[in-house]
Amino acid sequence: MMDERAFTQSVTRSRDKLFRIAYAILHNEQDCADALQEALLRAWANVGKLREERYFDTWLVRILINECKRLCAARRRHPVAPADAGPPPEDPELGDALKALDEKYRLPIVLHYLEGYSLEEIAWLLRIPAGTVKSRMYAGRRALKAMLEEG
Amino acid sequence: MSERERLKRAFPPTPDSFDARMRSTLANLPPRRRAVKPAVMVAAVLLALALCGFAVAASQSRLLESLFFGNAPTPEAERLVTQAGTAVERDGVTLTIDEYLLDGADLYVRWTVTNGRDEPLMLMTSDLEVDAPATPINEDNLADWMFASGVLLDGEHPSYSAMSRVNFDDSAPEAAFDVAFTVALLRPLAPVEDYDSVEAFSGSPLFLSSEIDGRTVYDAVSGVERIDGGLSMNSPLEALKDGWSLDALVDVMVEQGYAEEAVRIPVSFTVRPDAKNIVHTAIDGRKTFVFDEFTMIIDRADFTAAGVNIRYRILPRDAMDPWDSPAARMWFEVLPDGEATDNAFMQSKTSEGGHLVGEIVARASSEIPDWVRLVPYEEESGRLLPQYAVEFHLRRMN
Repeated sequence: MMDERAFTQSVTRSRDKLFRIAYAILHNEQDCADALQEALLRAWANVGKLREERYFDTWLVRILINECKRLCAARRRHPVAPADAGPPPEDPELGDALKALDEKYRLPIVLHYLEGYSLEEIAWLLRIPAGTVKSRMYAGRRALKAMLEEG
Repeated sequence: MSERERLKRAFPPTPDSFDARMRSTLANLPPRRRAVKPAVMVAAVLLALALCGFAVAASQSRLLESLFFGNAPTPEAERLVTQAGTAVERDGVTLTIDEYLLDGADLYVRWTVTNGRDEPLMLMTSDLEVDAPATPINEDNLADWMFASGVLLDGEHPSYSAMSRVNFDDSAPEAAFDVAFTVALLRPLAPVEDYDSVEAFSGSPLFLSSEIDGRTVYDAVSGVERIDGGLSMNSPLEALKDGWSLDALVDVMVEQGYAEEAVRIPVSFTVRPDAKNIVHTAIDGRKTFVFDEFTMIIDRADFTAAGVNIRYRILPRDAMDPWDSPAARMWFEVLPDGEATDNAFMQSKTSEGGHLVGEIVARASSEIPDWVRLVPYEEESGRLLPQYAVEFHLRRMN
């Protein structure tokens, strides 16, 4: 079973990836921190169920995605004023185009082309069939390309 | 600049506040109670196979890795996974049946195709065909003929492995049964265009090329048209008249000039179920739940060593188009014995005769449950809809 030291090291190594995935859903730095905290506590409480540490990364990402979606649903019911934004991205045009994409297209693109997850991994992460992941990636890429060309 | 680098620049840098929250959470993790687990006896299992078969060490099993992605395999699945070690070579191409697992409800087979010829070929595969009423289910196979898709096997990537699966309409047979599987390797003749840049056209064969999971995938299309701001692809599958199969699709593709057939390899082997180690519980008959807006029927629910498979139908009230009903936007949380589980699962929906027909596929929990609660949630918002939750009991099938 993974001990606290290994858990901490694995999480710390994935810090930037965890932020980007949370941001791809929440678009708000404060919410990303809230979702991460909940995800880490949940993961720590259940890490005994994970028998092979090499799956830890994807397992944690799935927990994080679930927490982000719960937070999204909660924010819809009880909106919170956004905190001040930090430094902008280096490519704000692409950042805005990504944000404008429907989440169901945006997330597979981010998970596959930025974070390197396979089709199968994304299907498990998002709880949708692999065929749906594939078609959403295609549709998302085309929509993104169209937005950038128009801009 | 790589695509990955460009996408990275679309995100703000990780803020200090995120980093600080991460560190403070990690520094204050609550103490964890160490659960005492019962000792597990793992018996060596030998599944008799017409060719050969022997138990696989769980840590080496790629099939278990695929099945239990992100979770530890159940002890039952570890006992049931079997290395087949069957390889057939034809004209420089080899098809290997690597491993399989039969768990009482499903047969999972992992296979590998290697192109040893000096030319790139496109791989398409059939469904698994079994000597019993069953439904083939595509999991992650990019070469599945049902999508008119093929995976390119070339000098850079001469091999491709994937898993095929069938779900038995009732339980899996208790006596030995035959399994047939065919792969076809085609030499592409039609032009190839990049998926991202294709424009609308009609009438002539074309392959759309894209990269998925690091592999080049060719989708065969006979036309592309613009609809509602998007693109719709026409497939050569539409030309299939009598019987949908890999053989029929390859015939159409050759006839219409998409490709030439280079090699076709059929394989057949016998699977002998290991009744001693199969654990299978299922719903006892159909269960019907009536709500104001719709009626939900659970047609089947199987819980086995390797997975969970639930099939349901939803009939909207007033014969409305099922895709217009609120149920069309619902997906389900699966709670074995009423408990939330971290197991991932996949869901899909189609419509048939006025019904929505849904399927939930998950990987097994560590214990087979006695009953199940399904709680729907809205896909977009994640909001739970407990007013439509249903529960049903299971019974042991073997």
